Amino acid sequence: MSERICIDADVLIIGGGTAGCLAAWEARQAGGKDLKIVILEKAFIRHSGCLSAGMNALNMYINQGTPEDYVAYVRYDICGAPIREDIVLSVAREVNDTVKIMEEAGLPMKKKEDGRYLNRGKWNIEVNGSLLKPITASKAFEAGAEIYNRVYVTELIIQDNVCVGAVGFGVRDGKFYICRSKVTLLCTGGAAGLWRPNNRRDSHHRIWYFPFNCGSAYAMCKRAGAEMTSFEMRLVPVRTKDTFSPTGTLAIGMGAPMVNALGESFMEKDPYYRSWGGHTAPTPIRMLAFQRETLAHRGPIYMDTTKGDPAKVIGLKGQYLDMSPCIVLYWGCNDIDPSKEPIEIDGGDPHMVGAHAGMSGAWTRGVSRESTVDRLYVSGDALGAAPSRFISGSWTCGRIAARHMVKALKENGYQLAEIPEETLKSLEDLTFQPLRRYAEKIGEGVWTDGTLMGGVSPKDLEARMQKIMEEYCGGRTHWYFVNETYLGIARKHIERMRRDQLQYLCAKDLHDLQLAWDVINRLDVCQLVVEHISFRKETRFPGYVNRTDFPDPDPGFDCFVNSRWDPETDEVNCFKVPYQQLVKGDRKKQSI
Amino acid sequence: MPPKIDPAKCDGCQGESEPLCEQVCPGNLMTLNKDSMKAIIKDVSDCWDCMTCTKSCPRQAIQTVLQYQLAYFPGKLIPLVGTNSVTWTSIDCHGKVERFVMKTLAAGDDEDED
Amino acid sequence: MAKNIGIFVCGCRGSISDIINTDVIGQELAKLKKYVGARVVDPWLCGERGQDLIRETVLQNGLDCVLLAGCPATVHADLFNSLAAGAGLSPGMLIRLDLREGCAYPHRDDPPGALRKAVNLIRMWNARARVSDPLSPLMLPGCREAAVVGGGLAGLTAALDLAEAGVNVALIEKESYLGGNAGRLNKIFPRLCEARCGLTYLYNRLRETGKVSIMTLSEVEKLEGSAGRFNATVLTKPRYVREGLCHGCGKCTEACPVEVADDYNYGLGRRKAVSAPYSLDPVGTCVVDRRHCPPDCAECARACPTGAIELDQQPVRRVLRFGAAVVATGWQPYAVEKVDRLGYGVYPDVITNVQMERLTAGDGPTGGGLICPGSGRQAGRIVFIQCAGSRDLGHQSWCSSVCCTASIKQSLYVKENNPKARVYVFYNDIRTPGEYEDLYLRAQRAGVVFIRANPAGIAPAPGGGLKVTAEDTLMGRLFETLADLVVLAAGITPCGPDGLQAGEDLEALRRYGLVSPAGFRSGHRQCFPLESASQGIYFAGCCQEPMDMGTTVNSALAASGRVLRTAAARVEVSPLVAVVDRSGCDKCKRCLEECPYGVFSLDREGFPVPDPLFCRSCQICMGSCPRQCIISQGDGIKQQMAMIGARIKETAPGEPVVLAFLCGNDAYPAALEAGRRGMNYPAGIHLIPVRCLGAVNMGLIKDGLAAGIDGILLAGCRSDECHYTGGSDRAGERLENLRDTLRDMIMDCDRVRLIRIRIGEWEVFAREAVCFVDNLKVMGPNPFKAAARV
Repeated sequence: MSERICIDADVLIIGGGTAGCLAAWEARQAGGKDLKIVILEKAFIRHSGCLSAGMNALNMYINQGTPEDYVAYVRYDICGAPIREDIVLSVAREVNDTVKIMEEAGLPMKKKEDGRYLNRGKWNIEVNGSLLKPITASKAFEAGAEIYNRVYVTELIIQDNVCVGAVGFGVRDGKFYICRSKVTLLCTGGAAGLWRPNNRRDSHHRIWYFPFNCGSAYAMCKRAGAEMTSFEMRLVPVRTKDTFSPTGTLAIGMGAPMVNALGESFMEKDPYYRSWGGHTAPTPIRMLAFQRETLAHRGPIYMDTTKGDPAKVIGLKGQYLDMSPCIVLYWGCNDIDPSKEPIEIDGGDPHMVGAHAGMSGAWTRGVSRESTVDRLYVSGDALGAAPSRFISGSWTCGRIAARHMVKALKENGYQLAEIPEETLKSLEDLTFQPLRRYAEKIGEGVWTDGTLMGGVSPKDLEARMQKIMEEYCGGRTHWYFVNETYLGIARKHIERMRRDQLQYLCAKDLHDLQLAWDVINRLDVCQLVVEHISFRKETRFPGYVNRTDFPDPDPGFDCFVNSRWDPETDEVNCFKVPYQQLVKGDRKKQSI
Repeated sequence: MPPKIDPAKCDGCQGESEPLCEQVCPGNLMTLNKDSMKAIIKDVSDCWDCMTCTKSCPRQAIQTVLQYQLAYFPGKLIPLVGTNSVTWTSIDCHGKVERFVMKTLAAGDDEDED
Repeated sequence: MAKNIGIFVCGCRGSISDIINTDVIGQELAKLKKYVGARVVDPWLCGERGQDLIRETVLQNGLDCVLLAGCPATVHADLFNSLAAGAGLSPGMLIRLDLREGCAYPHRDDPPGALRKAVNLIRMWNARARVSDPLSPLMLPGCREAAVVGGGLAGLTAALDLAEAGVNVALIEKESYLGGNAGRLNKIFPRLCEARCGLTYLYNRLRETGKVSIMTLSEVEKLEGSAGRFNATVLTKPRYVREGLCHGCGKCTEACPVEVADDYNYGLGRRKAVSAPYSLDPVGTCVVDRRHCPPDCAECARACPTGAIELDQQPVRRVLRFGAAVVATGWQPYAVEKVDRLGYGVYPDVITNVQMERLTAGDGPTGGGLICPGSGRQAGRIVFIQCAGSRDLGHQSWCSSVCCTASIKQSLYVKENNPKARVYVFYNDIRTPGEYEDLYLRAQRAGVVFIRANPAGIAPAPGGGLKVTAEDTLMGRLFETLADLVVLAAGITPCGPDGLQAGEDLEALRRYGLVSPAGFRSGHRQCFPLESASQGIYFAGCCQEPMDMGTTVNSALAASGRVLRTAAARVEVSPLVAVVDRSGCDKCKRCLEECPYGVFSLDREGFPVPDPLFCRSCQICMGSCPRQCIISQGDGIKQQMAMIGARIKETAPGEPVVLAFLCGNDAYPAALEAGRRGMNYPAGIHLIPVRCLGAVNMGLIKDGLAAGIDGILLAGCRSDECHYTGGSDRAGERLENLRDTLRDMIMDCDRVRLIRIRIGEWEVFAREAVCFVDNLKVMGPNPFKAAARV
């Protein structure tokens, strides 16, 4: 039995990140000073999550036009695919306000001569975001939220399709944390590390997305029985070679076009890409272009920074220092001068992200951010079918979720639930199982190198899972191609991992226990991904998922692919959900 | 790029049980080596290069070094973090120095200009 | 945050305006618009007209803050403070900026430079004013619990004083009896009255207060916590006797088969393993000293008629909580057997001063008769040997200050008893300070012979007694004397409770100059008397330094006075104390480590908490915090950050811009004096006074470098002269580390420099300042001036 820490909350926020911190702040505004707000964060809230490296731009801001125009843009950017227009609209209406709040909190905004924010392209603005996470976290402190750092939440507590709390373990203190709550917001981010990364060995975490996000939000929602959406809509990042730093700075900031080894600016040259919009073609198409050029042996592919003002290169380095400083070091060590040579780009391992140019996440009711499990809300990357929210949109989503949560709390008079001891006991056992298993297995024997005879480490499982996904679910080395046969093999292996191999998973210490749960969660997400890709028998987002067996879009799939996991059968059952167009206009065109 | 800690500068945060770098790492990767009482990274390959540890170290004892797999020798990138601004000094493989200054926190109340 | 600042610039009747063009200043002031409600340039603000002008301007414009740029803050302090208060300004909202000693005077040779510097300074101080808030003093509950360690004269005096002031005292004494060494003396100088008389009086008064809880046979095992919140684990050894049942009949003592040297009598005579209660034993029962008991012996228990003896009693540990403590652990005589030639420990008739007291005391082993312990004869020839092992680099290097008077007193005992006795005092110097000189005269008149002699050796004399061989250093010849009894003035060795400094070790204390090499807790006598490195722990009596009983009582009262400062029911605390801003705190605990006064402790969540009752406002913690989380009212980190963030421009093209942080105790007054004395140094040097150099946060220096400041100079006290015990050393360590980083960054590390200046070294300051700027000119401008600002 581990020592227990029992916490009661009115509002529980799991994940002290972009959405979570602003949710806490808004909850305080809406709920008053007596509202008990608790944040459980697996790292240290001031420096945790995707924002820890900083950021040099906010990629959602209404610089011109209307929120509806933004919806039209988002729709366009996903090749006209279905999106939850209601959610995107709700964010677009409040995002500018939210940015103002963060400017007041101390975020240095770059401004033009006339005092307006310096925009980069139509929908982005530039910031000095080195301290983006501490400034975000300061809103949580301001809210007077009770913050528990280094607590890894492993499971939600569900009673009759109602979320009544969550449990987890202390990453440093090894205690069992039980938090009962009246309403819960799950916003622990998206998922990376499902597929094998390009860089190996000591560089395997050198990827674009935050490698410590394992999709725990997706996994916990799925296990809670929530309706999930769009796990076939994975993001394929094409970013700078080796360091996988963001390329928005190059593309929009410097206007550097993609060129192939022949120096051709193929987005403008090739009629197929021109038909999609040339340089400003939708994101999946630009990813596809990179793939096709390389497969046609016209690689390597670059972003051409050599045209235009060399003085901008200094500014470019400065911009990178605010969010991905390693590329500046990379250029320095490798003698790369962006003003003299174009920057090579590469496709990376796919990531599951709901707030970027990806759509995976939990399905929510209206604009409330409530999932199909009562009193369980989601936000940030965990919120599905509403892409292109990015940082400023996730802040805003957090605020909107909190407002709805507090309203629901007041209107319904939710109370804390009694949780039976057997439930807590079984959750505790589940939580610490890999650790306890290690202790048992040690007794069965170790090899001369100290590894268990009867157990497998989280890293071993992770490597195998990544190999399976890579080889059978369209990884980078397969140029993101899949077909039903491959998917069937992936399904078989992922099933075996989940149903048969997890019983050997052993964690030697608390840090390893964290890695063990990362693998458990990732495997759950893998199952969702395989099933969703398999169900959507078409190619709607070429570049993201290239189905060789169904290479064209099918009007019968002009809808969302949602799913529910059945705990009895351990099957993920997919089904179609109709799409509602709220903003009029051609879905494949921008309105401004 | 994983953090490397200079033993001449690291003081283990004065021997406290959780040094600053351990406290801030978003991946839970930093710790204090109990024998040397200086900071080390538990697993170099798991670092995401966010540089939070490097920027947070009160003695600037941490230098981020790219894996050799990705970057040749030598080359340095050194942040110096002030209260509301940060300077970066990049020294490339030829010894050429470039410097950058960025605001990190807006005072919110800028002074009048001439 | 001041929202309506009035900026007043005084021409100082020409002192400033002759050098700095105040018209141009007026034009520059006009450019400061935000939150500035009034701008006044006047030739003379401290005169009546000027004062009226200030008052009216404040009232008419509803100003909430006055920035007064003119003479230094120490000049006309009362005048301007009461003027500000009278005009309705809140405390702390009058901000003084020196444009005279630190700006006009030292740049007489460079009026344009002085002008540009004045403009910079006004901008900086204006930025500071914008983030300034009124000071609100703190009222806190006082510290009503104290501990006194040591139940001798100093301990009893301090405990009584505290108890009479209403403080609850725990008195912790190692032995079973109170009184320490003083209680075992025969008579005390200068009145030659009975020692135990005064001590008994003290003890009775103590009991009457009802506020002193006395713990005998007790020692402090462990001390934790910090000022205001100490926890001590006290280990109390058992007496093995039940209090209610022992009548002190003495049958146990009779029955006891064991005899040991009598330590109460400093080794003279013998006692049993179980002894009757000594005088000033507050419990009043017999005590069994089990160290000497044979295994399984229970004779005393069997002999006791009331069954009071319990040989299975266990030691008891208690945790005491108190806010402050007086440590008065006293002294013991030097182990003078180490001085071979004096024969102590070899010849039983060679004794020490303290043994002589016991010999002559009525309750001593001989009932007061001067009987030689060895020979058993009446002592008729007595030789006192002074400085026995004292003022000797091979033994104790110091003078124990009381031995001469003590030996002279004892020589008078002998002469009173037996005027015909032959009494000699062999001395190096007779030190009978002040009016004790009278005793010296009395002894001489009584026929005591004083010889300036260096004893070479003591040997048995043929025919009995001892033969002392010595060199008469005035006459320059060897001689021999016969003696029945030789009394050695063995000096005072402090009894220090080494474990008592919470978290500190002795080496650290020595580094701060608070413990002498001998182990005396002498502190910094003039500036920080009686203090240890931990606020809240004060030393008194001979553990502090060798002193006589009168001085011991004074030092005990002074120590209790220190405790009483914080012991009132409500205590008003300066608003300038340190406060932790938790929202930024990462619990790295550097503040706790670097506080020279041990004022921080940790709360349950691990956040550092300073005790405002004991905080000295040195701001060293503020300088140590890597996240600038230690703030204070008044002049703190936020104000300094604002100053550095103001636009500081070159005072002349190509002239290096320098920020000089100067400690308020030494370097800043030296710099101002340099100005007064007409020394010149470059106008690019902007002076920023700080309380202690340790208060300078490295974040400010990094901000300065980022903003393009060419050089940063830190000037403070020398290592062992820092008023805040090591603040300038702290700054030095941090700065060396930063200089290392600058080297890594291919920057000239000499752009940041630390110099140590005494308050009188104004010439050194001017010279160093000139040198620093010359070096900066060679280095060229700060490379960050040309850096990309993204």
